[in-house]
Amino acid sequence: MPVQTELEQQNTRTFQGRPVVTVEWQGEEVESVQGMVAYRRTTPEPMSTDEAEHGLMVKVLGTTEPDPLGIGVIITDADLEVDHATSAVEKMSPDVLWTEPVLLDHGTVVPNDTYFVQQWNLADIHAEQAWDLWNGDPHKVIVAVLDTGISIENGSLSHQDLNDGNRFFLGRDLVNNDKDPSDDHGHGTHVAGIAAAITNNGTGVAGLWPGALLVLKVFNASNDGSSVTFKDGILAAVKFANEQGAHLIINYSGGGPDNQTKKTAVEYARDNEALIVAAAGNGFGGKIIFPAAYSEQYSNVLAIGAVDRQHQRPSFASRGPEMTVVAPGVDILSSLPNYFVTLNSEGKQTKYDRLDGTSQATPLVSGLAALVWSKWPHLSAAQVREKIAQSANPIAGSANDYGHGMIDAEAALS
Amino acid sequence: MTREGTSEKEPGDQKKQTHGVRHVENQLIVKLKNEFADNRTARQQVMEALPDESTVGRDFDEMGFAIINLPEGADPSEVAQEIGHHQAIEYAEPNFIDSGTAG
Repeated sequence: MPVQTELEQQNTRTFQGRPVVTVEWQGEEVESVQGMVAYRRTTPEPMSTDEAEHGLMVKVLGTTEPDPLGIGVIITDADLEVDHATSAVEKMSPDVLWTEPVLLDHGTVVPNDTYFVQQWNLADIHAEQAWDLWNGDPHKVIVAVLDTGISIENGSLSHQDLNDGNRFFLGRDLVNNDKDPSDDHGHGTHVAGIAAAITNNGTGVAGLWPGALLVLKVFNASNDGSSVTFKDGILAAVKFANEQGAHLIINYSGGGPDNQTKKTAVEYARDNEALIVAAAGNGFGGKIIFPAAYSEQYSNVLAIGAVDRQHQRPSFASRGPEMTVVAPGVDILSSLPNYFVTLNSEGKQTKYDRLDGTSQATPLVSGLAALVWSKWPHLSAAQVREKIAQSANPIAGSANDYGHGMIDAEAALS
Repeated sequence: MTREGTSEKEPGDQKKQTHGVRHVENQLIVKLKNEFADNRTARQQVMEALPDESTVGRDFDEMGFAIINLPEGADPSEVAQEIGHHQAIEYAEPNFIDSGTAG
């Protein structure tokens, strides 16, 4: 599996033709532009090259004229330490007030998707800030959604937010044992939209993960699957990811009882370095269901609980010591099939509607895991889980309700 | 048991609840130990140990998994207990139901 080191990733990014590097600044990791040092002086003349070289003690290529605020930039090919840049002022004339590295700011891109402003789940986990920080390869991680399928008509992806054939890969229908994972319930299309809907396409909703997604149908039109369809889904997802040379995240917005078949499948996923992100269940305060409840036994499993807009556990959500993290799971807007499915008979609209459940919290964590793993591809599945858990914001109350807390996409990618 | 397999049942279409846990009615999963996974004799012995009129829903794969459709009225949990001690079997159990978790 090709692995790009962190250093290589950094070196692929430039600003004004110069490499962007990560430095420690005031106790935090930030990005700076290599070879650019800002200065401020009280006189309007540009700093001379001689003075700049005297202060920095390296060869200087040039300096820019101070702007009306007296701020200019020194250019050098040298790779300066932060302390080196900030202490240069001490060797310069008294009219130089300070010197410091040129630090990078990020533009915040607000997606133009019509319903983005209603997606409180993305706002509350700081998705916009996370996208600004993300620079991974969207094809080096695959999120396999094991669910009821996806919106398909006439054999083709048919939802306007889920129709990019370069990102959405159709796997098998493991319930009916054919090659058509059409969604006949709606649950899978909703989950896929939360994880990975096409963002910034001027319509519908935004998804967290802009990369590859594999659709495997393991739940039927009643939203039921079995230990066998779960096991078959894991096997198919691992095979696909291995063929693609990509890391694998398995999203399972469902569950049921503990059993040998399920455990065997989880161990197979673990042995193949696949991460399983699974819903804690909607047991109204009851026990966490499986496979989520395997999170204490297996380091490649995350148990995902739900919170409401006040970041509190909704009454429907399950709870227990196996809880890893929580994410928004109430009033979650996402995609639904263009055609009539089971959820429409329960009052939901076609194309887009809101659903509640730990099912809706889970794909947000899968999307985040994909962002993290694609940014740091050298991590193990267990390390990705750890990064998500440790970057979560604790919520006051019982760990059985919230685990490590509410996921924070910005913190996870920082 | 007979080898003429019927088609595999769809989860949820026919389901039964035992002790609060749902499973596919009359369906049994058998997993052979890895060392017996592709042993024809072991497979045959296991199938002969199953109740009469059992049929193969899905034949043993390379990992040693098979799905057996049990005759009407048979309890998968009881059958699993009866044949679970066979030396070639890692485990046998009902095909338990999972469900999506959205409301």
